[in-house]
Amino acid sequence: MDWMYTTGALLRDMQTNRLRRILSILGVVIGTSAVIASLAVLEGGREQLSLHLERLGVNMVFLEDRLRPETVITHEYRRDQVTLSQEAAPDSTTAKGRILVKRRMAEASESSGDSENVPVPIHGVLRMRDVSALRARFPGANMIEPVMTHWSDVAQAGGSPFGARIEGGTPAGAVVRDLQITEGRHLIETDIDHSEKVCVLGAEAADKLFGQSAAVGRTVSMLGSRWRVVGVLAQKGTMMRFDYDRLIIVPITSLQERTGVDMVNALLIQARDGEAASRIRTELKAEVLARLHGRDPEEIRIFCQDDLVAQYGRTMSTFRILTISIAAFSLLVSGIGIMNIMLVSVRERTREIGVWKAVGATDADVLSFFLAESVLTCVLGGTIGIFLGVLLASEASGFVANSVSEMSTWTPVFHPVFFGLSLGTTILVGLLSGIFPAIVAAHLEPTEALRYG
Amino acid sequence: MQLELTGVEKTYNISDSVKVPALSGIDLRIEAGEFVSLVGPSGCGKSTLLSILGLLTWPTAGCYSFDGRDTRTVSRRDQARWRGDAIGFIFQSYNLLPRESAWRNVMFPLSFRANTRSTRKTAAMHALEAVGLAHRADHFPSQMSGGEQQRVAVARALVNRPRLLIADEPTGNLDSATGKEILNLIMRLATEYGTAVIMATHDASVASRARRKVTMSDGRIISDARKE
Ligand SMILES: Nc1ncnc2c1ncn2[C@@H]1O[C@H](COP(=O)(O)OP(=O)(O)O)[C@@H](O)[C@H]1O
Ligand SMILES: [Mg+2]
Repeated sequence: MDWMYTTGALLRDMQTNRLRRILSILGVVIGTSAVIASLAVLEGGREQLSLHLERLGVNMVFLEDRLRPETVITHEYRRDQVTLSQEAAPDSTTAKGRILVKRRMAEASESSGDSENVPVPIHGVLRMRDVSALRARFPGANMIEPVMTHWSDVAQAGGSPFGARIEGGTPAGAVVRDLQITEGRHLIETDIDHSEKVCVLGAEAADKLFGQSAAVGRTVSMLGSRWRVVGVLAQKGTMMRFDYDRLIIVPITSLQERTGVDMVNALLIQARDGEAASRIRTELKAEVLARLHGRDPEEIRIFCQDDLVAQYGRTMSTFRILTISIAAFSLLVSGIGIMNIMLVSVRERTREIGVWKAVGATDADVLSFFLAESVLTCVLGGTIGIFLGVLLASEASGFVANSVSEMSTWTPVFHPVFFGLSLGTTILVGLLSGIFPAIVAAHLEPTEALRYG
Repeated sequence: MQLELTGVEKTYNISDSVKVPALSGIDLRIEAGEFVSLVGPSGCGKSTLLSILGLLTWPTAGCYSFDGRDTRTVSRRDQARWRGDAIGFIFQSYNLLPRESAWRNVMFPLSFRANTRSTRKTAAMHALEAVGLAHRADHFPSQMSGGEQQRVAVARALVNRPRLLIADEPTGNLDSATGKEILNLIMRLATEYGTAVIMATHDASVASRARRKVTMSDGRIISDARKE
């Protein structure tokens, strides 16, 4: 069979038999656009919901090492100025861990001598380079931010001291927990790079230190030096058993320098989504313990919004099932439509097929003509369907967003794979549904075909 | 070329219990270049016989040998090739492709064979010229009269220079003057190309012009007469 001729005949047929052509193409258009639109709208919904749950912290994982820096610090300022309260040195720090770290510290200071202002190399705790390694190990995490917490007395210049939780952190640490600022600014990278003596105060800490007056620009004394206040946090309350309002955040580098301890005793992790969070949650502890040889597993704790994560997982899989079934359903409907049209098309041409055969067309010639017809119909209809689907999805999303008040923005999401999937499957369906009538047509006895109609 | 039917039967199975015997005990031999008319009342089996001769359907019993080869041993694919290469068809109802122009209709049988597009088109135009319709090449069947359509059909049937032309009541839908024209055309071209013709017809005047007249009744050949 001459393919040029086939294509030409198809195109001529398209001009002269518009209605049938339009109907068959319409079947494919509807099928493709329905698949695209439903995938895009549902995926948009899924992302919206996912975002919503992420705002509630579903994608956050916290790791805490219960070994406190206070238990290993042996520096001057500690003897002079810092008195550890009962609260500051929790009992939970096991004897074993403490002994381990102290022994290693002792070994280290023997070899390097006095090391004020130089972080003491200690073993059995997480350090900055472990954080980099963990970032590489967990690509599902958007951020893995180190924190070193340390309890210390804090005072306004000349005021009376009180115990507060000092957090050595990074700018991204505030982003992970969505900490908002009411006054001044957050920590910035240069604070970290230059180990600046600056701090951001929790709402309650600021109130205790400065009352109603502005805190930014003032100084506070802690850890044997003076720190400039650059910002005050908005009230946040307690989240995952952590009181943000009494917190004082300083650059982690500054805290490590002041305390002389190079350690990270908490990690703030923001995963890509709830699913990544639950994966990190299950794998993180073993990974961390592998880096901290000989530590008691009980001392490493992981926190996350378990209920929320479970809920998230259920919701997302429901969404996925919904998406797949709607897409499959619209494919089925369009497939049946295409098949119908193809059958009608063959039936209408039965007599012609008889003529073809009389003048020498083989079964294969007839088969390839009808296959070419379905391919052309599907490619043309599929392409139009993609455009229509995109339009439809935007319209449908607007409608959904208007009717569901909680979802003020419901933007459809178009992954390239959706286009491939819907075009690919409609072409496949078109071919499959074209093959059957084509085989029927090809196997007609020429006389039967000629007698038809 | 030689066609030979021996003991050919054809029975249509309408259902398991209803069987229509359309042909029974047909023995017939057609030689190259012969002109045979096939007559008999409607329903006697003329079309069925022509379909078997043209490889458009197959006997339920008996043997059809085409150029000495038993057609039962030839694949459907090769039979399609034979139809394309050696046989031309003319039907009562013209059977042109309605959405193709005259020249494309004539060219159609050539599109199943290996040759270049330009030779195909040239051959189609020659065939149209031979039937006197070169000036209507771009017209569609719906724009032509019955006689013109049948002339296009003759051109299509002969564009391959077949050795056998099968015509099933080619003048049945035409008035007698036009019918005569078509008949003259067929006879002239068949003689020119050396094509054997077997033509079913009701028209006594048509039948009288054939050198050999085969008469059928009730699925059987009741006479096979040759004029000298
Ligand atoms: N496809 C078919 N199915 C059933 N019966 C048929 C079929 N084709 C022909 N017949 C029957 O076979 C007989 C011969 O028909 P046909 O060959 O068309 O005769 P003619 O062409 O001489 O009028 C008739 O009785 C007709 O009804
Ligand atoms: Mg008949």
